[in-house]
Amino acid sequence: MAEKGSCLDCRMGRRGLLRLGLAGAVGALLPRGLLGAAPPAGAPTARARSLIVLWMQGGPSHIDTFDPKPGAATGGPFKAITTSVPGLAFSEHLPRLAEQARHLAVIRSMTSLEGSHGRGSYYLHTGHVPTPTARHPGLGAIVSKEVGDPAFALPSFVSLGGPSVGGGFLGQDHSPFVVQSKPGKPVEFLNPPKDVDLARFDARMRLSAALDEAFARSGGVEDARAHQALFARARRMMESPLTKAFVTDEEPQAVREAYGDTDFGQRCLVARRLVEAGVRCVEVTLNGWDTHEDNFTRSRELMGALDPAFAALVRELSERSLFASTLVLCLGEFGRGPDINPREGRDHHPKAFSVALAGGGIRPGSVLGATDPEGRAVAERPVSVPELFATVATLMGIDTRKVYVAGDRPIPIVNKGKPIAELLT
Amino acid sequence: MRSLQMVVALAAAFSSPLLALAPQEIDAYFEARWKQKGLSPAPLAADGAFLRRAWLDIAGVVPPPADVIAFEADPSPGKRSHAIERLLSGDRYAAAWSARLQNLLLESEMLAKNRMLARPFDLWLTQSLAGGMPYDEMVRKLIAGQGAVHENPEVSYVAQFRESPEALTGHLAKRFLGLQIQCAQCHDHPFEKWTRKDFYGLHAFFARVKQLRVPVAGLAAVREGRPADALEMMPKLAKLPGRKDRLERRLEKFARNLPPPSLSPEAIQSLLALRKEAAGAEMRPTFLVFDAPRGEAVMPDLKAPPTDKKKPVGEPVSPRFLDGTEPEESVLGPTRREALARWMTAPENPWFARALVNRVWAILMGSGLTQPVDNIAQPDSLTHAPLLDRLATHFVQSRYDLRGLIRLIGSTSVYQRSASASSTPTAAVEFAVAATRPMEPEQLFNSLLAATGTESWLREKGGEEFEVQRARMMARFGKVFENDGDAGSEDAFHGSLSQALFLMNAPALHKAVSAGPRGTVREAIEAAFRAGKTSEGVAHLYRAAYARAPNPDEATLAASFLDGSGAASQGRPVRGRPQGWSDLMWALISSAEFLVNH
Repeated sequence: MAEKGSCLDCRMGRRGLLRLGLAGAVGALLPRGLLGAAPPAGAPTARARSLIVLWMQGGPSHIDTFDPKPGAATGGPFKAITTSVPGLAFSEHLPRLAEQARHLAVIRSMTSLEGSHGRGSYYLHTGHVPTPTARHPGLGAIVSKEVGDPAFALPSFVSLGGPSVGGGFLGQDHSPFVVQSKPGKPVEFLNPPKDVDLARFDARMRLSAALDEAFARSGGVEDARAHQALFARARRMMESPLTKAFVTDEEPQAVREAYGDTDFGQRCLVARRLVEAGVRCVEVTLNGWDTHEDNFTRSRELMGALDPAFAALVRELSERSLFASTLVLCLGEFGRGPDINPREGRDHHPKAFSVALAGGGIRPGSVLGATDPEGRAVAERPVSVPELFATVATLMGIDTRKVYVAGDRPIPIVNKGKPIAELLT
Repeated sequence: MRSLQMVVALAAAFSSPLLALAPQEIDAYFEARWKQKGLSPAPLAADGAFLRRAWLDIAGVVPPPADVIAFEADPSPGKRSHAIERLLSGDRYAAAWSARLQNLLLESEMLAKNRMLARPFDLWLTQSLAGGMPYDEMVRKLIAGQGAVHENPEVSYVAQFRESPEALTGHLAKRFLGLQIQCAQCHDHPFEKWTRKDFYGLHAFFARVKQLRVPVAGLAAVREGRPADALEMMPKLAKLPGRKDRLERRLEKFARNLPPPSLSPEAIQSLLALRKEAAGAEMRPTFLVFDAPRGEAVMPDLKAPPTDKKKPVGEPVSPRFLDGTEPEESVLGPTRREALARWMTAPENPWFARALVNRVWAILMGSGLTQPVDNIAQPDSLTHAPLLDRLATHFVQSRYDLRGLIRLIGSTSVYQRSASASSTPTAAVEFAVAATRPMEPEQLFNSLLAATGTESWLREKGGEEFEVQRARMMARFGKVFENDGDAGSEDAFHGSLSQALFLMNAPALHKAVSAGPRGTVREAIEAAFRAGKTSEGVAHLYRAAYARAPNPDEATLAASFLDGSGAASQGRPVRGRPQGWSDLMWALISSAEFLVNH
């Protein structure tokens, strides 16, 4: 069921998205007057410059990761271990993160009603439940739109290993640059084909510009302009030394090993490098958490990938004084049920789940909320998805009261959520 | 019915609704409007521009250069209509419109979770379109189909909404009826008549739909009278309450009620074979869609505290059509969905044919007669209502013949206007100037293969079937052509960074424009050699990419590039070297003019 009040095309008028011209697509699709119509109070002061999202696709079991219930009937076989924060325990399979716990904030009382992958993933990526009336931008796209620099040589939003969620009504310009190839290696198609040297490449580009000019003269002015702008952007990226951030060869072996010998781990290392290079949002996907069967074997393996990577990321960011300016957010579409099914699995459970955050102005070493002794429901300080989004947006310096206008529909960046005061320093 | 007045509003300008509509009547309608609004229409598009547009619209690909030459040389006055006719009866039509309908009917987010739905659905749509299945029949199958995805792929439409059944209700009203009722899921609509009761009344037709994931082998076992074996393979079913023998009896009965496959046995085998690579393909799942004998919909009480979404608190609702009438219990038939499908596709339904003709108009003309394409509920706010109505009655009279509708619109002179004249918003709404739009992902991919000659080369080479190779390449490179927008006329230009990098640097594309032993570039070099002048070769490349010969300025530019005297080549002499030809081809197929349909 759609969230009440999320129905956007009813509110302002019956006509849906106005037809967008080409010019609208390459620029912002929003009318300029409306775009600038943020409340005069202005955006909050940014605490974080960059955001790294660790996307746990499939929905990790909160009980088996950040919210252990040792001794409970629902607790499963894993032991709980102490962490560097007194009184805070993690699963025994997160030992390195346990050491870093003093840098983390854990919310144990997330709650949502979206229990399917498609809808849950959309909700936890955009902060809005899916509606047939608008395609909401993902968090990375919002960051790109609000704080990204269009002149920056790299894309503002990079997705490593997963499709993530695109720019929605903010347009292709803010969709993630998706890298699904082997992590740590050069990005595909970033260099001209091998028998095209620089001079030949330049000749091609000049010819391309000349053809577009001819098309502009015969009526395709806007297409030609959009096309040349896109090519210029691609070329800027190709020529930028910053693309080295995608390549990890020059990292010391000890560093590469610290992140773990997994694609996810190496992608987290790339994420750190991209943030250093100035990318505003990097999402790294760890797929496989949909453990309806063999939850314990599989969760243990997945934690084997998550633990070193997340811990190394936090440690390295803090060693490089990037910690204060980089917000790390580790989340999936929902938690998993306390009841263990006959196939040693746990099923979808949006009612209560955990999210971990670090850096970027988050109060370190904190725990917010709690579930009941069985991990079934939120017992203390429920946190909604819009509250989480408001918190992240505020730390990134994005005004959560801002309302986008797609066509003639007003769409707030955050759907009625307030930043979580307890988590902010 | 709600908007019968729309029919009454039929302009006197049109012939009787009982007669077939002629293209000239559509042209007369627009000519009168242009005159009234003081618009001067763009001239008719040149032959090449027309041919390229018709190929992209109907066949989903740019035309081969030889066709461009033959078309331009053809002196007969009816050649444009003939071209449309040929395209409609060609192989490409069904494949291209299947791709388009898939984009409209399958939601990409749903597909991401259910990859197994797409390929069978494509096969079914292609087969149905090629066989000329009337549109109403096609929609009845989509709404009421039963069976397994790989045998009766029409069920994919309903199956994709497994996780969000309410989304199905909103989707079908939008796509098949042009009505925006999705808002009424949560509140009565402030501007239109829809209430939550309307929404849930429609939703109730699907209250008995069930879906089951079963291994392909399990389904076979049920069919072959081995329900016990099937149960072994279906742990979820085995979990259902009830004794095992009762479950077995139910499975047997279920098998008797399964519809015959809509796909041929060969097509089913080829679908399964595609999945054979993975070990244990027989144990791979398929989706079964069927109707339970019981089950009612509930309209959730929005004031009740949030609960488990599977068991909402609220009042039960019974099926009710959107015009307020209710199906008689006796006509509910074997499934409720059939009653809905019949009501939706009845000739008297005021929305069904209109929604489709507006959609097809939008595909061919760049935007709907009325916009947004999926919103035709309020007669008084529709633009071009009389024409919309007349086209709709024509479509019904023609027994929902899709090809006939495309032929009719394609034969108008309004379809054949030039896109090069400068346009204004009014001129665009009045279709006085043709629209320019980015190619759809499939169009672009197919056009790159065709324009570079890669396609004919792959076909000649034999070996693996071309379609299989094409599908593999699309899977490898298709991602870079995908765009974020809603497919169809709402699309704006969506060039992504990945797409630009692909066009600039992908080795596969570079190979396709390199002067290999065959392909378009080789043909151009040979044509230039034979004629003793480069202009022949340049014209060949221009025809392959743009379906026209270069104008004198373009010819000069290309010639100076090729002989190294032009500014673009900056003194790099490439005369006689294949590289210059290859670079020209690259620039053509990565240019703005190539990437749009205009």
